[in-house]
Amino acid sequence: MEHGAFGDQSNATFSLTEEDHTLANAVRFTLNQDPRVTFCGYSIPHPSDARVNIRVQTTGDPAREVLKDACQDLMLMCQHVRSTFDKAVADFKTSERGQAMNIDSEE
Amino acid sequence: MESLSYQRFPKVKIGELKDDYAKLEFRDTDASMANALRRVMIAEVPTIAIDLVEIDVNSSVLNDEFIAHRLDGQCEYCSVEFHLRVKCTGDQTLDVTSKDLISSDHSVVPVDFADPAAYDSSDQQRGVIIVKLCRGQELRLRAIARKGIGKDNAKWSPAATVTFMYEPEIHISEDLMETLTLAQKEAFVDSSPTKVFDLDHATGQVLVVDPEAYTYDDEVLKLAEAMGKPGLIEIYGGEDIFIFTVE
Repeated sequence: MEHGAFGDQSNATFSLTEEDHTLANAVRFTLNQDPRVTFCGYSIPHPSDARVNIRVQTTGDPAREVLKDACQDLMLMCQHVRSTFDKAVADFKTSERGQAMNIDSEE
Repeated sequence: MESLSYQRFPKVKIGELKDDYAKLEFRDTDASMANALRRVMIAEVPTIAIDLVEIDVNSSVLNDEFIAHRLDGQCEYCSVEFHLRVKCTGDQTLDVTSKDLISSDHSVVPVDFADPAAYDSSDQQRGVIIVKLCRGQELRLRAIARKGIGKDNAKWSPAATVTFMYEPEIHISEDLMETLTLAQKEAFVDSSPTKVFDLDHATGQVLVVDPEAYTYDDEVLKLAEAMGKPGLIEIYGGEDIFIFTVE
């Protein structure tokens, strides 16, 4: 859900349901990495509601595009972490001479 | 087309890896990513836990709800049925453990985190104890385990604890260190409650042995100031290096 002024596409507040700090803080961090963003932040209107408001203000690009790009960047980063982790585990196992190990709590 | 973002890609290094314990190091990332990872590990990794218990016969000393609670946690694709049928016929007290839970699907079995090295004889590796029965007592029940996530109910959380800390960067000023006597150096090494420093007696050098053991107490800094040498040691919390401990 996007709340924003009709004419001005570059500033908007996005309300995401069924989300909490887990996603919101990570998205906020990725948004901050984008040079098009002048301001970004998130808030949780009430802790009992699973809802997060993310505010994005940009240098001119539509805010929803910038948010979508930030989410894509976040996905890329997570995929990178996953493959780096898998590789690190494989290296660790071969260096431990292949002792049989199970990963229960992963990443 | 997205414009260039100042995104950094994190690096992962594994310190220790066991069945139920892992220590990892994340570099070039931010506290928000580390925290998101921690939150997902606790609340959003799906596991299977017992959700429904139907008790047929229970003549043990614990009441039904108590046993159901100790087990806790329909569609055939997301649930597995377990049966438990135990009767004590001998004179000894019989331990009913998680190993007595018989699964309808052989690929799903109760988790057993017993450390094999800690047990002397094989009859001690019996899994988690649910209830103890004495002569004549019987327990018969059917339990259904379902897949879920920790957010719903803590029984579905796969992790016991997940913690992360910043890795400190410790700089020892060699020049100032040289002006200390051996006794002062030893006092310095001993002042830290965890074993972070060590004194190499051969060369008289104070070395950093284990930066990860540093608990951000300021004992060593206070001692340095008390000795009148405030620049002796400098410790920064590394802002983009995180050590994860997962159990």
